[in-house]
Amino acid sequence: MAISLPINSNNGDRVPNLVLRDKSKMPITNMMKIMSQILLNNVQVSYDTMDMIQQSATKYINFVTRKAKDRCQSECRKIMNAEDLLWAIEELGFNDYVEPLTTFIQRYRNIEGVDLFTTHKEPISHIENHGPSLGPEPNLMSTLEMLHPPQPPQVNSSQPKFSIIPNTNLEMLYPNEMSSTKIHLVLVVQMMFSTTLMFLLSSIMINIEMIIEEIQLQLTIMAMDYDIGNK
Amino acid sequence: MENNQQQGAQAQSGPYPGGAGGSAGAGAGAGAAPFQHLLQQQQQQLQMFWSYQRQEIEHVNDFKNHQLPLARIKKIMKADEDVRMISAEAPILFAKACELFILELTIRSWLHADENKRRTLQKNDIAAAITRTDIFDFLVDIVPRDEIKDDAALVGATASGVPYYYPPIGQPAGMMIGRPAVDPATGVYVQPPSQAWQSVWQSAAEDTPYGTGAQGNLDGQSMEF
Repeated sequence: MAISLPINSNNGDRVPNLVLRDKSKMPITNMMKIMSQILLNNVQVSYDTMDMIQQSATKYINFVTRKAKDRCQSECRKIMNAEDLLWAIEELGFNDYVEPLTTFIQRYRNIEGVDLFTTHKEPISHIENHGPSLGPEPNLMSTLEMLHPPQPPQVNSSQPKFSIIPNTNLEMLYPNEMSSTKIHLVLVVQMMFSTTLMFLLSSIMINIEMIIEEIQLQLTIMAMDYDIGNK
Repeated sequence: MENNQQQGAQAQSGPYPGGAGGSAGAGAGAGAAPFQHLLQQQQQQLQMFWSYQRQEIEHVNDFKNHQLPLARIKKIMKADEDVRMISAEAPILFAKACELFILELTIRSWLHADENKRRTLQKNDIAAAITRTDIFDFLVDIVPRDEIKDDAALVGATASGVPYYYPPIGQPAGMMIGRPAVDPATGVYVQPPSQAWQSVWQSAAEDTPYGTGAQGNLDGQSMEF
């Protein structure tokens, strides 16, 4: 269940729509959902506070990105990867963040590795991750990772992906609420495949029957020629 | 008895004057003890927050639904012109890192609002959280100067011996937040169990009030600047 934080818009001088549409900052609605995880129901957040936290989150990303860029440049690498961000976060003093984020990215890679056996709808990205891998996965796994589409601020649904292997145990690939959708898709694909196969077989059978009739006609003509030769 | 005197002194101070972050109350007891007690409470709450985060990340199963949009994160990262190419994992990791940052900033701000018996997070709460935390130094330029002055005054007020009472967790939405039971013999503050704190984060709807020992909050009205 989502808890919505009431915004006290006591400050008439500020226009909320312009702030919400600012593309260079983190969206306020998403941050409110995050904050509602930790605040009690009766705690309210003034509008100036939301604006200030929005600026803080944007500055945090710029701050860590600049630090990670230093490491990329020192190692003469052009692609910034997750290890650069983890290094920058630790260098900047956010020590409590390193352990949860390391666990997060390792578990993400484990699940993403299994996901290689499914066909993604997004095109394969040309960006490769050449950095050292935190987990035991080889670089080949991380090379095939793809960019995920951006999520809209309100909708939290994700697109189900098409599975090539019909008998794959879908419980291992996706959480429970996704399994029914995947099974449904697999069944639909199987039905389409069967229909196409039946159509092809029918066409082949018709052709075979025509060939058999033609062979019988030729045999009859040859028999007549043989009788004429004997007389 | 000493607790009653402190409550009486606090009641006399009444609502805070406009603009000031906090007023210096007349401290009946020793000056250092309540401040250290306050710091210990805040440190314990932050430690519980981080242990909860570690547990949650171990059990997360859905990496597709992010709280923050990846395209927006990528755009903010590329605001630096030297950053040209970003791997696929970087925005995903940043989404989680930014979520942790917002959560930590929110809880530190809430601790400051709770010191002043307020139920609304305000700008000076964010300013206090930023000035009190070393790793948030990069945010000093977005803190207004008057907020820094208020926070300095508040810190002085707290150090002078204003008592701090931590309200119990999990009160119903309509009920006023009360104060936990204080041991009358030694005057030591009874700490709430950690299970109750985590339950608030996991499901805020399952609020269970602390029936015994809760006292009414002195300032019922929410003060806004």
